Amino acid sequence: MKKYIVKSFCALSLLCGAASCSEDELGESIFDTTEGGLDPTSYTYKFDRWIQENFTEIYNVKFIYKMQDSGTDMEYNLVPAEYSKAVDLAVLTKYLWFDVYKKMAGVDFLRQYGPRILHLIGSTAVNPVNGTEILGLAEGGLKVSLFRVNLFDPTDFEQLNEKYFKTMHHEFAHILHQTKTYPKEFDLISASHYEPTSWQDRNGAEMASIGCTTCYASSQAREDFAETIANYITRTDEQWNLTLWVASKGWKVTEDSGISQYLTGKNMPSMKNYAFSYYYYANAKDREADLRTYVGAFMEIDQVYYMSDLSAKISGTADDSDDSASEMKGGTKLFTTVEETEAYLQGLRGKYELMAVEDLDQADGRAIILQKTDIARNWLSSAWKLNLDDLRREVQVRQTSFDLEALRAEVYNIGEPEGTPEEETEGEAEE
Amino acid sequence: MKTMKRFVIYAVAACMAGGSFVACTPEEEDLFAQSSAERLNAVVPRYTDLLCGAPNGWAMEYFVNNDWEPGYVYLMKFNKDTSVKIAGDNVWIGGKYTESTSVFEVITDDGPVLTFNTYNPIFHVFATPDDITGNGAPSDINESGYGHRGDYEFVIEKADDNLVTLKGKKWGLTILLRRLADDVDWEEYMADLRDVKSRLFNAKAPEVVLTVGKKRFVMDNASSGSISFYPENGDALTETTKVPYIVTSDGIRLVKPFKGIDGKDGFAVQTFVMNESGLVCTDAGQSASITSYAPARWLADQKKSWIVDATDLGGVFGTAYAEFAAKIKTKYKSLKNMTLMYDSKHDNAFSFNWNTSKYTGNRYGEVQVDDDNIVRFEFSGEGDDNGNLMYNDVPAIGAFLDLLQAGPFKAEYIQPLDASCIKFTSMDNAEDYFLVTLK
Repeated sequence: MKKYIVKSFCALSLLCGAASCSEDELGESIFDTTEGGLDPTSYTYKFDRWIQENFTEIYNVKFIYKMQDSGTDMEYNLVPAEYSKAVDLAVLTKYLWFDVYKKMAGVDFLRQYGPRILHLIGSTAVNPVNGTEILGLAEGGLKVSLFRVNLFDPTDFEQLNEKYFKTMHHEFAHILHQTKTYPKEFDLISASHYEPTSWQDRNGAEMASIGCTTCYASSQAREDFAETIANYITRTDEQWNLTLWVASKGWKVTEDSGISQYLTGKNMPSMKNYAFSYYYYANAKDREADLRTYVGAFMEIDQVYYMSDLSAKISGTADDSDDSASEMKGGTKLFTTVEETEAYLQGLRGKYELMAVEDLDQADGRAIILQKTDIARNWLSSAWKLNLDDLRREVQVRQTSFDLEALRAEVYNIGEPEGTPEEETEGEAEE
Repeated sequence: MKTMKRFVIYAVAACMAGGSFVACTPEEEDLFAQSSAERLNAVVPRYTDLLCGAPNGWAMEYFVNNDWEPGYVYLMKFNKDTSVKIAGDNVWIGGKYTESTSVFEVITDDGPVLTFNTYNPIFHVFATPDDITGNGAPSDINESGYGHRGDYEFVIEKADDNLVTLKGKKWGLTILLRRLADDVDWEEYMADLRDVKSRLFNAKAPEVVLTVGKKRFVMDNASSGSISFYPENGDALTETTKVPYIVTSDGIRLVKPFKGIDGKDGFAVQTFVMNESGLVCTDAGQSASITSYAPARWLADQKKSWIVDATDLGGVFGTAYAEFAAKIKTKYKSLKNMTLMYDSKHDNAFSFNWNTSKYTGNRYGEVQVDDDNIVRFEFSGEGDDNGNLMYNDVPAIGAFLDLLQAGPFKAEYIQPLDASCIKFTSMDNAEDYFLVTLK
């Protein structure tokens, strides 16, 4: 199973960000916004004009969907975005990101602190060495790249949320903290748990239990910070509550390959490791031999967190890397809420003496995640005059109710030019 | 040593002279009328016009940077509105003629660059960095992060009205754009390529020969799209060089010139066109050809079985086969095929073999092929139990055997490089013939 990265390059952030702030004159784009810059006979004219009106003229943002490989990390092999998918991502970027911050903080906020360049890339950026995949990049406080545009599927809300919407807010969080640093106390909370190079091998439940909202958040503090904000904003109430529930448990983690084979046989995606939150002894013989039937299994499928009815019998003395699991059952039923999970566990309690896996990490994951969210909340308020909860409410409403057809129509219904540019965006730009 | 010192002194003096000259003439005339940037920008409309100026578009000979798959032909019609209609026909895009439109630009980057900068599903599939499965892709390699290693940005190296030479920006392979004639139908063009491909190499008889002067190289597994060259009488394991090729409208072109196994054989062959004996090299100054091994080689291979083509028999063989088939079907309810083979259950004896849905019969003998591909069959009268029983029950079996023994026959390939199909024509009467195909 691939691990996904929402990555940032912070090394240049302070200097570049400062230079950007001092040189920009608000209200005038640094990019060509004249009609002469667009060819009315061009195959892409409508989209180009929509971009000009909605990003370049208003926010001084260059929105690149026609890919230039040299504009990316040449170490990766990438392909351009498909035109129609680029249109979809562009209208959603405006609706779910720029329009939200415009409503919350005003146009000038984005003009001053928003990215100068948005770059859409069609493919994933896979690191062949460790199998990690970059979903987004924020570079120098100026440029945000969004990847895997060609895999955009408007019918799959969870994937939209995890792979695109969250990435937007993650990268913007980077851009903001690259401009005004967040409190150092955040870095200290999980300092001893960060693993910059091997985070992708970790289990999401175990990481929640130490106070990280995702495995990637456990890579380093600044990613933890961006992940905390992005996950809080974009995860639904049910998903966020499930994250906190997972964070409150202790976990038995195993890399058992037998479970992978079992799940593959059930047409379910397998993971590098599996985590269980409860166990019981199926009979006296098992109790005597300390053969535990583990249940309350955590599943991470394409970054989305679930609980499942997977169970496996594992020796109480088995190492994490032992392939000793047997009698695997279930695994195809996924629970998306705390309520569903608790109901499943309650059903087991009627039959067995269910015992919680001991939480050995000596960290209250739930409290830590909430503490980190509080720090982010206070920082957004004090540094940026942004209310994180209002932001979340606005995003939650928008990401669950957007009308993609109507948003697309903004592009495809643009009329053919009549020789002079339309004037409507000028007023908006002066807000 | 003195010479060296003197040189250094002169060099320094020259620099000083140059420096003072520059200082005294600040308004030196430009060597070029335009700056390098201006000159580079000027080629953008020129190349755009050139590409758009072909009313029926161009055929791109496209290669990717791995050694196990062929090159692919794409047809491209560039339009002034920056759209480009692309057509392809290969296994990675569904295995049939397919068209899709996307966007292109000529930009200035590493020199003038032709970029296909929005995704086209039938073209960018080769640059998409996903793992590849099937269609000959190595099953032991995970290509995630790399994919096929194909380019979609190309430096324009040379261009005229009929040929544009491109170089892939990331993977560095030479890609050609050949102008299509105005009256060419795209689907027919691609169908013709399929036809050319079908007349070339065959996986069932995978070895042909490249002859360059006195040097001979086995070309193995060419039907895969990537030729494994090794010296005839050399070691296939340690001396193989794999070279992908593309099927063109009149032959093949290798991804890069083949220069022998160590590259020091003094030749470089790349482009071949079909003729009556196979393929002949058309590269300037090169004399090389690709031919099949003679039928004797394949007919002597005891692992091969040859099925008599029931749909194409001439003269007495047509009559005899019809009688044979009718009688066998009447007596034994069915006839699956008539085969020439070596019977592993009978010391690999050469066998005239026939199969019904229930029974198999064999009559044993010999086949002899001389250097002129003259073939003689001789049957000893022996057979296995079924063969003898059926031979006695169905006189048409013996009648067909008699015709075979009556030979001799001239053995020829239907297609010069495809040894999987051989035509046997009676030396006495060219009307009497039969064909066999490799099982």
